[in-house]
Amino acid sequence: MRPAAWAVLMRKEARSLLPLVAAVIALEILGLFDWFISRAPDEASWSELSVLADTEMALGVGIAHLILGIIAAYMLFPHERDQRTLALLWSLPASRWLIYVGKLLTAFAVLSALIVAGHLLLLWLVGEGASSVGRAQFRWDVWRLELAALLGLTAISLGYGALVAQFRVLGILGLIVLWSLALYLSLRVRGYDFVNPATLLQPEYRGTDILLSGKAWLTHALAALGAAVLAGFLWTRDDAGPATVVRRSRIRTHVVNAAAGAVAVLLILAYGAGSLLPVFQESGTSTDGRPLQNLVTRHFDFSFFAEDNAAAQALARDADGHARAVMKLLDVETNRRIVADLTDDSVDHLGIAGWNKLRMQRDSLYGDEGLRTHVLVHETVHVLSMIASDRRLGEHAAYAQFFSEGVAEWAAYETVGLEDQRQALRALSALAWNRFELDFAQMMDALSFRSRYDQNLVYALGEAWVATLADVCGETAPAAVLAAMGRADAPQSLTGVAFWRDTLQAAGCDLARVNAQFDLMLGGLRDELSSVPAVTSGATADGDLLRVTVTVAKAEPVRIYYVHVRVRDSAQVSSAGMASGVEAVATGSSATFEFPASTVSGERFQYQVGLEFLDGERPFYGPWLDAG
Amino acid sequence: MTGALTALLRKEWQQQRAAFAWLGVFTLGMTWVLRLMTDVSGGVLSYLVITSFYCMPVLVLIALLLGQRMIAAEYYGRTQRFLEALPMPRGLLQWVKFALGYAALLLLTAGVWLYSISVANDYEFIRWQFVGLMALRLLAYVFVVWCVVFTLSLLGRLRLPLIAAAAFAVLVLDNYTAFELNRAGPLALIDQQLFALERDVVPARDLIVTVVIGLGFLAVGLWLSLKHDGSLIESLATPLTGRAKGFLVALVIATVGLFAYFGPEPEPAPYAISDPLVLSENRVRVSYVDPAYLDDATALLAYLAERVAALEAHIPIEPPEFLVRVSLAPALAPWEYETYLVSRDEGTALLANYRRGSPWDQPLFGAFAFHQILTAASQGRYLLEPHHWMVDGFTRWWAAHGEQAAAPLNDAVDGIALEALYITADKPADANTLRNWDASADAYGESSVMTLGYVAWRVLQEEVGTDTAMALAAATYSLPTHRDARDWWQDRRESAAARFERITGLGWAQFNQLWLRRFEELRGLPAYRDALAALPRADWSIEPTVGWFGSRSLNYRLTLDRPIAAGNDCAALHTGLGVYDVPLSRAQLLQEPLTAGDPDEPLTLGFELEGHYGRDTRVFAAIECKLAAFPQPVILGATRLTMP
Repeated sequence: MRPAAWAVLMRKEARSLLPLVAAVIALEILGLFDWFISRAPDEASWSELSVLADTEMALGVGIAHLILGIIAAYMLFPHERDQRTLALLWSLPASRWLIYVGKLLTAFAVLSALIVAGHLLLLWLVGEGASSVGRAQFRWDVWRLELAALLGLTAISLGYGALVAQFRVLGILGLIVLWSLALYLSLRVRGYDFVNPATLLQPEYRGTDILLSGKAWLTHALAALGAAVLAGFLWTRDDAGPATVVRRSRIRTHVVNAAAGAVAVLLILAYGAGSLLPVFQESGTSTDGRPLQNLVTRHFDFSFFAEDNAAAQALARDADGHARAVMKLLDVETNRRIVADLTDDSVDHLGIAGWNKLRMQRDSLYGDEGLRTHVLVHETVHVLSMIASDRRLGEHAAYAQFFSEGVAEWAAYETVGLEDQRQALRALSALAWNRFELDFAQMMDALSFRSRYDQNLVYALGEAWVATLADVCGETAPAAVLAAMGRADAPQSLTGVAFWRDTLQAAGCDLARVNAQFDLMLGGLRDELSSVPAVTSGATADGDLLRVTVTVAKAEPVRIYYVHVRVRDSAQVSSAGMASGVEAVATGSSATFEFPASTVSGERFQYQVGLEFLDGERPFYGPWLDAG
Repeated sequence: MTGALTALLRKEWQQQRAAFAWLGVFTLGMTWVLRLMTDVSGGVLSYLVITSFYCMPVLVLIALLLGQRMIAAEYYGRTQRFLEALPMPRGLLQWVKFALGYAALLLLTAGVWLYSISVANDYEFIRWQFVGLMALRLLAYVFVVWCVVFTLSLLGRLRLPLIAAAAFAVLVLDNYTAFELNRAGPLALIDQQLFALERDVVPARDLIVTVVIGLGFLAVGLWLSLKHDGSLIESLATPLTGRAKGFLVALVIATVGLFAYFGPEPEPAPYAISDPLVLSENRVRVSYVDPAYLDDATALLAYLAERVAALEAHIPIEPPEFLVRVSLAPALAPWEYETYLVSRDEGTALLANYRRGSPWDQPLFGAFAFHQILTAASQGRYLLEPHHWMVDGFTRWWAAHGEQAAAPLNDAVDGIALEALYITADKPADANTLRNWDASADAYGESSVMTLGYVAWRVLQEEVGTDTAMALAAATYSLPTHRDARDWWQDRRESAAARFERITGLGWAQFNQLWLRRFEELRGLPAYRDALAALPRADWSIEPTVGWFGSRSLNYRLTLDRPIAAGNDCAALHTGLGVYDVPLSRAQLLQEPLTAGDPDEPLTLGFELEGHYGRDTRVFAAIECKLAAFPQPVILGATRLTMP
């Protein structure tokens, strides 16, 4: 085919992508608007604009480019059949494969032009930036890497998209299922995150270097190439297309439809058979055959395994009294029965709670009586806090988790007692506050705090803060704060410190005053806790083992402490996915903890060292440290 | 009628059964995936949330696909003409399609729901009342989803723009008004918490709203489908016409109208210190937590009130509600301050440990306070690099001297200028120091760098006179700021340097030279030379090392040529860095004490930060000392490094 004919063909393909081009340009303009409407362009800096500088932005942009490529491919193929232009294409003096490749190349060229234009726009914006530090951030190598990655992602998505487009709606549905499974696999199976194509743009930082996963790129490049070849095979082999191949053969149509129908019927039957029977029973039976029992009190609706009947009865005995005490503390009036599920087998937590329901770890039923009551009351407070705040406490969890856990601990101690444990918790919070030089902003930021420190510290610090709130603004202040969160006219766009300033003000209190008193209270314990020895540590990945060596600082007289070590892959891992160990170590001595290398997915990992400075109480963990 | 109904049902069934079957398979797959994802998420309160996850967005996707196949495709293929020609009541075709689609969606949803009940039933008692409540929610939710999709699917080429416009309108309402999408109507019915956990309360309001919305859409859909004997809908199954575009414009206008109707998100109440122990004068409020600190608060109030009032005589501070609030924060070091609120409308709220004692320095805090006042008044615009040096210099000067005439720098040792000379002894200022102010703040410390700005401002005053310098400040700080592209455009029309030259008559390069020359002149003056000689000089190093068991350490070492005064100390500072350098504030840095390890070498201080940063981690590390001569610690050495 002559070049001129090629140009015409490519122009035709590009024209069919015009709606997509218009949509992308509109989105780019909308994105650019942000730099003109809510701030000025000279405030721009490369670290804010660069996709690879921010893992969250990289994820979003990666997914968007994958979808973009798939849409583009979808716009190229099915319409040729719908509009009956395929015959015309086939009549051109060029091989079908050449036309197929030409289509994909045109889509790639169009999308690439948009991506390059977008990146040139970034260059202009970075040039407008007024800050010398911001200007110094710019690196051509990163700009090029970013551009190359986006172009590569587009090529991969076009490959996948070409195959999806051959199967039309079925292709889209299949894509959704497969992508969901890839996401599941990446979350569930250690070391398999590369199967999720959204991770293609997930950067890893090593010093000033930005690295992308070669394994993921190789896997998806090969898979996309395979998909593109298969799609080409299907597209060029049959004029009617694979989606209609089955339709042409009545036998196969019936077979496929019958199979699909059978699966659908089986699905419904399976759902029904699995569910209806237990619903009709007063006393359910779990799938592993353990019968469930039920106990209803004035304020609770307990469910538990029949074998735990005695422990559950013991727990339920005083539950209503505690619930009434908590309602009084939180100023909540409700006739609801809280659903209390005592069958939880989680190793992540002792209990969890939500709207009108709590779950308690089954094992905690057999633990210390005070502790199990404490857990029940703690979770009950969560449930009642949700009611008192009209669910707002949960909605503001990103910066209110310390309060959520704090008010639960505070109310539980006020109700159940356990003064020794409370003092131990206070000491823990004081140690953390003073040694980590924490401030309110750090304590408030749940995600960042959890990634850096022991997540249980949120309970200790939260309890101390709520206790201070009650000291400074009165015993009813925690209840007033919850009510203030749930007030009808509360501005819901406020976040962080602004949210807390507004909420406390609405509750008749002052955040600065509470924080000042909180500082004084925890700072006052600094000297008392100065004797707690420091612990230094180092870690290395050595073949099949991860070794963490800890040294407890010298102290007179020599004392033995229990030292805890935890190892995890990254901050995304829950406590169930961590390995841990504990050893008795004397002051001035060292100990080495060893963990199988299979505990983590690669050479790099994080570890945390804790010191049990009060016997039998929660250890004081240092920050999470990088190793490997 | 019955025959027609049966025929239509049979026709739809034969036409759509494959789609129903495939959608069933898809539902099965997604239910399985949702179950797996629910397990992965941890902390599951009830497996009933699987249904909630399914309802949004999987069910919506399925409904859209069904709408496309059952309705849109019929009109695009013009096959409805054949059906309309059959002897059957008007509207029966639409009713059949609606009923069949609704039934299919209900069946699929019921499957997922029953499955989630079967899983949840292993852990909780699910009673009939609860089952009934969930069923009610699902009936209404599936109804509204199908009504909306049914009607949109009838709109031919308009449906995609309309879906996009509707989604946009809902997002606008959700984000910019008091309206909350997840708490209203359909989405409230399938809210994860309420659907799976609310067992008692019938959501009557949400049910009614949902059904009314659904009926509204259904009525519109049926009306459209029967209008002009169905020719309107048929005409929509063509490319967009001018009328259709007009309809879209009307829709956009309606969206804007909705926005106006719901009104903006309520503003938070203006900040008011609720501490009963508050002193106030003019625009200044000082709270003091405890009566023991009344005197300290009184002294601070007097100082700030006088200075703020004097400043207002030169620079307009708007509006009347603009207040300067200071709260006591006893845990802060006397030279550390925090900002609690910066707002053009409300002013500032600052935290400081203002209890008077030797380390508390009123002018140092004053500089911070005036800095934040200008920041609030300009909505942060003056923190942009071209303006920042002047804000720092002007506020440090204003806090120290106010309306009072300051003694010439040459006459006596000026403590602030001395600090500027001290911090630049090893890292001399140059022609780029003022221009690249962000980099200078990074090199000298964000607080210490104000002393360089102070000297620059003093040099400007000496050169052009205080009145002209104040005219420059007044002209700059009276400029309107908008926190959008207008600020950028304003600076493009007249840059900070051009404005400087227009008002002072000094070229920017010329001023830079003057400033640097004066710096060196001051350094050579005997009084300053002696004062500098009395201060310790430091030799420092910060080295990363790898220990024998793989631990990474940062070794800080500082050697002073003379002891620092008792009660003062030095500290090792550090913080982890991202891949790019961004301006760091002192509050971001962690601090460890530097101590003398060897009694025979009391002037050599050190600290080993062991195991804190792993391999390839970028770290900012610095050494700072608090010297008696200065009100704040000064950074003696700083570096950025990557752990080996």
